Amino acid sequence: MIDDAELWNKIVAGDRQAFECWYRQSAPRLRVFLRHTFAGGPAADDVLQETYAQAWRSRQGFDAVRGSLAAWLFGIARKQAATWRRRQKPEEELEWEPSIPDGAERSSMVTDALSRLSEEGRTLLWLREVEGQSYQELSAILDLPLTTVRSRLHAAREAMRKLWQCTESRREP
Amino acid sequence: MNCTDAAEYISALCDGETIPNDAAQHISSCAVCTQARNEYVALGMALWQAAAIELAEEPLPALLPKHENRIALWWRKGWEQMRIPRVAFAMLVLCLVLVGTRLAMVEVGAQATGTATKITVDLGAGMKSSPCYLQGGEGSHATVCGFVGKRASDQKTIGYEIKLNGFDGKRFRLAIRAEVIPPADLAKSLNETLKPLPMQDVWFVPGKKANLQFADGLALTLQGEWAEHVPPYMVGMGNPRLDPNADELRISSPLLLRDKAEVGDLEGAGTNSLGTNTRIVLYYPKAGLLMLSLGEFPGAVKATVRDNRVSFTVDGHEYTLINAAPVTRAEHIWVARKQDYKPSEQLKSGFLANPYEKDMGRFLNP
Repeated sequence: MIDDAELWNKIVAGDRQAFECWYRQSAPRLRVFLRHTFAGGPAADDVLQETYAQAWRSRQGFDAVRGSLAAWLFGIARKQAATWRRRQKPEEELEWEPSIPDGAERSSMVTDALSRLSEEGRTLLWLREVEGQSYQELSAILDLPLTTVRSRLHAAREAMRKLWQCTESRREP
Repeated sequence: MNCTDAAEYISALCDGETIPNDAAQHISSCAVCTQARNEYVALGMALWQAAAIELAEEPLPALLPKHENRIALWWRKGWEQMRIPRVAFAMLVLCLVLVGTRLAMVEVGAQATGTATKITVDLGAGMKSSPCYLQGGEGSHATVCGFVGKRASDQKTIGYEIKLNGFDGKRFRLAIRAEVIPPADLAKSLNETLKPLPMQDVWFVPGKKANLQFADGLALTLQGEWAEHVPPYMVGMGNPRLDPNADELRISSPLLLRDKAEVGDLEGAGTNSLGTNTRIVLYYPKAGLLMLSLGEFPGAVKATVRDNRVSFTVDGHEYTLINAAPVTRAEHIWVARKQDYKPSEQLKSGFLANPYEKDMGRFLNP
């Protein structure tokens, strides 16, 4: 398996094929992240494409010392999502709905609970629980101090736990 | 410490972050906080499952070149002016997309195949542990790893124990404890030394680093990769080949015969030493303590090595140590038997170890 550093060296040297290889590896997870934290449908795919276009343009700017490649990519995606949102006319603002394919009922319950959190809460929880980003990486991605990451992650977890409990209790006869 | 004060630390605890002792004590003894912690963990699992379902079901759009808008325009023009049946063209495009998608999914899937992981622990100051394999799934026997090693930079001996508590197909749920082992405890078994310490829970994802903090500022970094299976008798320090390195002495799953009759079997145990100034120590309750080295040392006799067998004569008895893999490239090694060795209570059923020479005296006289 090619590691991040080896792959990125090729990308920095302008190897388009290596970049597409990285896209195929990393984009599925990034797209699911965008669909759950930013917007469903075509908007998420637009931001996905913009994110990789930006990553290609600023590929010289990645510094492994400051964090992982995944953390850097998710950081770009967040900024692109914010830019995309600013560009929308008021009447085009998204009616945000989580994009949930058919799957276990439990999965849709949990994603439904997630969709009711703030965007920051959704992002923190998803990046921590699904992507396994460290507090340091979360701090870099969201431009938040470490202590704030800890407290807001806790707040998001607690809010989601309460929402989930409500959903579970509604299901009980 | 009460529930309100401890609340924020429950979340941090789930993430493997260091939390104050009083908060940890409260959480472990408080039913409400423990319940919250369990629910946080369950939430994380549920989110993971949701992501896994979508990752499995969603095809990936092709990466568009920079001039996306111009291409979209050409596409629309081409569609409007098309001279072949549109349905046939659409089917052709669909086939191409499906083929491309399939390739992409196979490549992505290849990142996370297998149920095993090969883990290495960075002990700080450029020192890494020998690799360890853990395997998830029912009936797995590879569920525990232990390691003791001395850091060259500060001469501190670091010990850790990892237990595999779960595997969800993408992540390994590990419980870990570690410490800087006090000199007085070096003669004890690792399990005995670490037993009083609390275990830290962490979800480990192969390919990602996990940074963990322990008492006294000890920081360990777990890193690993996916493995399709656990190699048998993984005893080489970073050398997975059957052929030992030039200065390596390997002992793997050793069965001891005395005068052609079995006297002990340390099945599954394995270690190695590097160089002529180190010794490997084996203890069999019925045969006593054996010390093996590539170099001659006081009281040792010359033993003959043939592939996986070591033969020697001590005290009028012929011994053969049969291993699971080749022992060394050398034709001879040196072996001594210590008759008066008295193991501690925890080690009396037998063990295999590779203590530092500096600590050997304390090790042999616990």
